Amino acid sequence: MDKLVTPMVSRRDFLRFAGAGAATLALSQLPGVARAAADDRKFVVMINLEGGNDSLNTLVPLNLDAYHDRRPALGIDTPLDLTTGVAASSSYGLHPEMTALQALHAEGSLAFVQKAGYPNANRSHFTSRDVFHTGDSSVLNANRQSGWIARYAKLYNDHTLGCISIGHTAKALQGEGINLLQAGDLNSFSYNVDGRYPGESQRRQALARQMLARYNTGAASSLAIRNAIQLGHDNIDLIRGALDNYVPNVEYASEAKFSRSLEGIAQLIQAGGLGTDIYYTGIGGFDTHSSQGATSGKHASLMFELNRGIEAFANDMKAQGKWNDCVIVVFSEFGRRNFENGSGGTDHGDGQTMMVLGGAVNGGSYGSDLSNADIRENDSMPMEVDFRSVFSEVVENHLGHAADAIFTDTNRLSHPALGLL
Amino acid sequence: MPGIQVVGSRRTTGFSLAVTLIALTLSACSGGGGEESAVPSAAAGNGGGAENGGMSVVVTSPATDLSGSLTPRSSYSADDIRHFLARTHFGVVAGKTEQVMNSGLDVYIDQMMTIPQSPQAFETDAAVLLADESDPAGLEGRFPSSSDISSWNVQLMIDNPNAFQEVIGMFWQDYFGVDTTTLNSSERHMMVDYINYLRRNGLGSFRDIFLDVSRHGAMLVFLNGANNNKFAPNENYAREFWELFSLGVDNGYSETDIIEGARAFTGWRRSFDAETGLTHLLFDPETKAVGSKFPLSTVVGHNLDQDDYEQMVDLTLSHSDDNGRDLVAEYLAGKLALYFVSDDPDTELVSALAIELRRNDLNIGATLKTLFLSEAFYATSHRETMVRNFYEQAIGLIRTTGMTESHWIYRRYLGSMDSLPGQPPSVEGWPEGSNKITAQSNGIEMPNFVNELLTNRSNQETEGYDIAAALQPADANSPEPVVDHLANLLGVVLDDTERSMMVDFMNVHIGSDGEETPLNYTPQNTDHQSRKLRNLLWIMTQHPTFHTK
Repeated sequence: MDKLVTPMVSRRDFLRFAGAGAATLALSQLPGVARAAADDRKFVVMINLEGGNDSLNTLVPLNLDAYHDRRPALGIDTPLDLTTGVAASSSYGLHPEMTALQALHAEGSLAFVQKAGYPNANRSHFTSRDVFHTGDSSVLNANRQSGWIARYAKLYNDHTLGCISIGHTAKALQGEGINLLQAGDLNSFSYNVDGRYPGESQRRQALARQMLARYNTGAASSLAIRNAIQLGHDNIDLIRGALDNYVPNVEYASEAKFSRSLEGIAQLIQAGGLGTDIYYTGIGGFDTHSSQGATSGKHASLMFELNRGIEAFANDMKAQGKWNDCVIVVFSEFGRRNFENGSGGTDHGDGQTMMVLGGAVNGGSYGSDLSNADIRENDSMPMEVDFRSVFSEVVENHLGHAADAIFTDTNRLSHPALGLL
Repeated sequence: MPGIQVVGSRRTTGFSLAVTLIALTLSACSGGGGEESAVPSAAAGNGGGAENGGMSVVVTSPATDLSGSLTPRSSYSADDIRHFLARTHFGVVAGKTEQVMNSGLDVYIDQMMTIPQSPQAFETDAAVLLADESDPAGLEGRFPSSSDISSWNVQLMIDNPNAFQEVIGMFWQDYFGVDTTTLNSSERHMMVDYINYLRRNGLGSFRDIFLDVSRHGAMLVFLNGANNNKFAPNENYAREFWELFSLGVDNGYSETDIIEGARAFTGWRRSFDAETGLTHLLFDPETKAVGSKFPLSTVVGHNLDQDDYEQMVDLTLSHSDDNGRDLVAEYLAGKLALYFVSDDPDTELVSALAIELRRNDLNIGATLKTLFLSEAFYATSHRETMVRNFYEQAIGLIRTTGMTESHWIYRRYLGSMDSLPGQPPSVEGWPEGSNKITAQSNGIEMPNFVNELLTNRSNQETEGYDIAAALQPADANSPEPVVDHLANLLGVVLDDTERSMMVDFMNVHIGSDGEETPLNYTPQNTDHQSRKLRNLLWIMTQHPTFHTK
């Protein structure tokens, strides 16, 4: 039978670490990690709703006839009430599946950014995703353009765990010649061994590490692969240690990949964060051209997954005393059309509603309110707030680093600070 | 049958001469190997030139880079053939290189491109994976699950004596991505037909493939053509028809064209047969948008007796931009180059391939044959530089080693590496170039998959597996030739130090407690094979060059 390789850092050692400012000790083993006490580290969780989320059915406009006129079948009649709390609003309601976000809104921890996007929006999934990944709307071919998170890491937190993705591989973390961890599922982040010959397994792994360490003359693609394989060897003990010592604070939906990804992030944070500033994850399936549904169906299921994942994670962060250090940004590559199509769905649109959550977030609605004209006279939500302004505020006001060097696109729309944080 | 209609005869585009002139102009302006080429073009030129044998090429300098030249190579070395097999057969198996060299590459390519249309024995065997005990009599295999379809496709890739047929099938699955999991149980039989269509017809005319795929039930369901009707057209297919399948993003079409195109693509809808429980697609004039449409500045159809798909395909294939560029041929050439030649193909090669495509009336097989015989295909700058898809690595490893596991294991690992056949991550297909690389898949999942194969000793031995015949030279009497042979089979490039490290590994016994005892690796010793050769395989697959081709 196969079994896990024994971690180099034993469970007992790790617990001893944990009892005496361990995270700082563990982190000190990583090159380039800031020596700030791990407890003070602020972090960001990016949640990408891939496929183009239908913003109008996520944050539903109230009292706008145009909304129901444009969506006779898909319009939501009784969204969740948002009229309580410091950021009370009678202009919008939430999708009925978003009960946890309703509560976070009432706490003042949830901000909506209306009409977010970028100038000359492109309705191609792939182009628009590239724009969101690179932060640059001037390129069609993003393969030659580095990701904005890779640029952030290069400038401010240049080590392999400086920014990571879990469960959602992202171009945003690629480029700049750096090598950031992108893990599919932390639970499977371990090496299986040849159970019949465990000694040979230990040796083969050591030999592979040796071989990779001296491999430095191949093609660029081979060197990139070497880096990726080394990332596993170099971090597996650290990550296994974090996972093996995790004490659950809340229950995540283990059958849902998105929830498992957030749980993985929470596990790393509880272990001291491993020096990570930005975590990236997401959910796919938002390309609801047909049979989208309103309060039930495809989109409702996606809202349910998003809601229960964030609910567990927010509760976990609160239990860990990290909610004020945490900012969650929820975004998609574009919103969808204002009107439903003939297939019970919606086609690609332009502007979207972004969401920003966290204990330090100034809850409420940002950007100009939707009007009947926005919905009736345009085929999709207009764009007024550049998404890079939202990302920049998070980088500057939460992570404490200048964002101008990351988002250099001259086509970027400039406007006064939103005041999200 | 399901979803496929017989389509009309091929249309002459009248593009050839114009394309030639345009492409020559482009090639003169191109930047050669591109700024981000992994290997400096000077090195590529030296390597390619050295083996050019003085053949005439359209260049001005004798030491120039041949990475863009479709001129046939004068001869093909064993290294060349291994390179060819790595790109077209998921990898090398023992004896294959010699077989191709003996028959001659030209002749071999003709053989591998002759695809039988009737089911072969290995296909009949694999089809068992589609069937379930609960299938109604006479409809066995028509209600497969998504997992069944992936397993069936994997089995075809493992068993097909002509691996190239499966490679070209995967090229088209990547190009015309359809995700099986979006089809319901009454629809998934169309996915089986779709995959079979691509692997049996993928070397024909692009026009035929494009049209057949556009009308195929699996595609009509996946990109909502089945829901697209005159009351409110659905734009999903119209957008990808140009963006992903023919012109490239924002390349010669507008948002207005998409709206008009969506109207032109109306008319097909699902038809559920209550007797069989199967859904098919049918053309229903009642759902087709009335009146003319105006995509790509062209008036299309007002005939309600037939769909507008053929017109849409033909006007797209003859579409050029304001500068007269042959957009479809260039786009398709770029995709072929990206799949078979380089993760960063240079414009000169793409232009030359576009010309070749038009010269062959967009016939894929004829164009690929030219490519597989060309200087460009074997240029030094194109060797060992492409990142292999994970399905290529996994299937290649199974074919090369002969080691097998259960379909549950295949699906578990291919799934976790987002590399299951029949389930591309999106309509865009699988990631390209360096975007394929992840720490999880390259660094964790792949070594664990290799471990599954190498530790499945008992089952493999029960089934008569002979590891020595598969992985060692027959006359080997020391570890050195074994290391060299295995590296060659796996496409791993070792330097002297790495080779020594592996030979040393073969000559030492490591106990469970870590204690070392000298061991003179004896290739004929089955205990040595089990202990050392199997674990050598794991180390080899950790080498970065195993992950490239």
